[in-house]
Amino acid sequence: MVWLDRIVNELALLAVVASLVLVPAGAWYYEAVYIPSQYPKGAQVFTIWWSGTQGLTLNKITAYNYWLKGTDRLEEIKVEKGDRVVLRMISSDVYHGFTLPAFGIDEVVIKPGEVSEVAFVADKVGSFLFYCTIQCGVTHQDLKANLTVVEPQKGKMARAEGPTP
Amino acid sequence: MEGDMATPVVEKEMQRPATGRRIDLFEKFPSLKAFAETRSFQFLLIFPNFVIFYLFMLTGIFGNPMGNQNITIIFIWILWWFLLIGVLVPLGSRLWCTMCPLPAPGEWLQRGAIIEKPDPEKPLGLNKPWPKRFKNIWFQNFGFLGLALFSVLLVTRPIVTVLVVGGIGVLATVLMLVYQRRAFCVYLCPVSGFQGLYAMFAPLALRAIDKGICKTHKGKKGCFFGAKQGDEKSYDAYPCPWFEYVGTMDRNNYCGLCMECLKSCQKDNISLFLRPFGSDIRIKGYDEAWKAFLMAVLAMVYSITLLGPYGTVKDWANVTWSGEVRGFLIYAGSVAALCLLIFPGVHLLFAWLSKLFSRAREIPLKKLFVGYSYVLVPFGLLAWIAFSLPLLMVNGSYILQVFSDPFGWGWDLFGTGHFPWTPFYPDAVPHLQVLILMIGLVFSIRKGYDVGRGLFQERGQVVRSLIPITAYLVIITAGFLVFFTA
Repeated sequence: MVWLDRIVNELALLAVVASLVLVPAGAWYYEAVYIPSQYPKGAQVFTIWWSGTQGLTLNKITAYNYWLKGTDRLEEIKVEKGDRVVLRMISSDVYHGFTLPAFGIDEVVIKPGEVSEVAFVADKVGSFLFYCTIQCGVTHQDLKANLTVVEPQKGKMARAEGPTP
Repeated sequence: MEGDMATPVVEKEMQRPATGRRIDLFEKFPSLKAFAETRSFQFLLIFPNFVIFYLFMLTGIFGNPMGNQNITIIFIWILWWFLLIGVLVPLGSRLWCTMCPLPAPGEWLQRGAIIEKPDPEKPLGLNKPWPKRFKNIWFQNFGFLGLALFSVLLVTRPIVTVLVVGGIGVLATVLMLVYQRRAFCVYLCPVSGFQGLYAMFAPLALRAIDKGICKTHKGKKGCFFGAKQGDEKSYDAYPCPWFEYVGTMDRNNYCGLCMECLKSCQKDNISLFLRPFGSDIRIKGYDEAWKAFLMAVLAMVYSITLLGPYGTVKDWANVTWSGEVRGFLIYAGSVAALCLLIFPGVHLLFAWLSKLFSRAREIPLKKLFVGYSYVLVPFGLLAWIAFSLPLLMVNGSYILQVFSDPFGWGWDLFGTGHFPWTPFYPDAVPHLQVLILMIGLVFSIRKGYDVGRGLFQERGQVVRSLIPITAYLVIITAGFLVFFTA
């Protein structure tokens, strides 16, 4: 099987280096490029992470920051009137319940490990509270944030207001 | 490991005809031999695991913090663990060591090559010999015990798994650059330690085809020192990374099945054999005996903390969640005392009773203590399988889920991302556990008889000495049954 040795010997280093690059690159591509591309163009897509101990955050809750570092809390999401808003919600621990009464969205169950989505058009201006409806953990009371809808400002992009330091 | 406890059993084994009761796999499957002789053999086995474990490190850091949503926990501690303890070790000896990716980068650096250009005379790194006083498996014993004390954290938190598994990889790499060959794997790796012990049970074994040829072979033995093309050999090969000399090797304990010796043996006198389960029955020293004690106790401890209904003990073990530092200290102290003192003390008592019953005054108690610790090898292995089986049966459905969603970010790559948690015949678990334990009990008693035959001169002494050993095994089995069926 000298031929096998020859081929593998030529490719081994390349295969090792390629795997070191391609594995994280593939994951990044799927999460950061492919998934957002599945939503309608122009939609304001926010991924909100829910945790009974960490609260709400727009930062991905990972094994690293959950146990070791902690995450920044979400306080406000800002969009413009008329925007199509998609909220992708992921629980990093237990069941949570999402409600946004001002837009008639009531009790969307957020299961651990699954993405729960709500989509709506922000058709009124104001600041609207959304919060957790299931007693989920020590920070349950803090699992709330505002959806702020402002008048459209030409030339400015709607953005998510994150966390306070 | 370094103990010099030569017993008549060894002599009997040495005298056994080389072809007796074993099947030469390379003779039966020449293409398997041709593959094993290639230089790329080990790399081709390591590389897929290298990629998979690299992914596990990434998912363990950047993936979902919850164990059941993260492929790192599910694949390592449910799938890999079961495959290791339930399939690879009992059937394939140290086959995992052949394909383990953790020491691979260190070995590549040490050799200055991934596959070819072996130059055993010029390894990179310091190439220091491993200190003689540490040529035993005590580090592995203490290392495994240390990890076991934090097992609840280890098997539930991805980041802890990354720290431990990644830490082993980093340590292996550093030590490969300091010490010769695979000193890390032989003397330090906590996973290697129990694999070596339980590999004695496995039917797969690499051995010299005819030890007589090794005896009469004069000159540099390629299997130990390595060989170069043209050096009576058509293959390049490194010295045995595991410091084994196949010409006298009569146990599986420290053979990593890397197949270097197969490439370098000038006499083409090495093969892979299938033989009856539990063919290696000689425990060589206190370090190996303590490994057997430790593994048996830890199988029971894990059954209590991870499977049992004992809330208080679970809280103590899960210290970072419960915050019960005092409870954890009690738990850790009790487990360490059980492993290192109490259980060995009980074993000593039964070894002493065994001597008393045998009426063979001339036999040293030490010989019985070490020799009969072997009965805990097949029993311990089957107890571990009994412990691990429900992990797979009850939580196995998570494998499908995380396969489609390795990071726990809500992906569904293969359509199984939302597969519900579905225990597989959970009611059958205790029945299977009892069955496995009973097989372990009967097999251990049977093997105890073989050990006894090597220790005593007369058959009557063997049978009498086995009475306390059998009682000892029955008591341990009863203990396991209580915890498994609680």
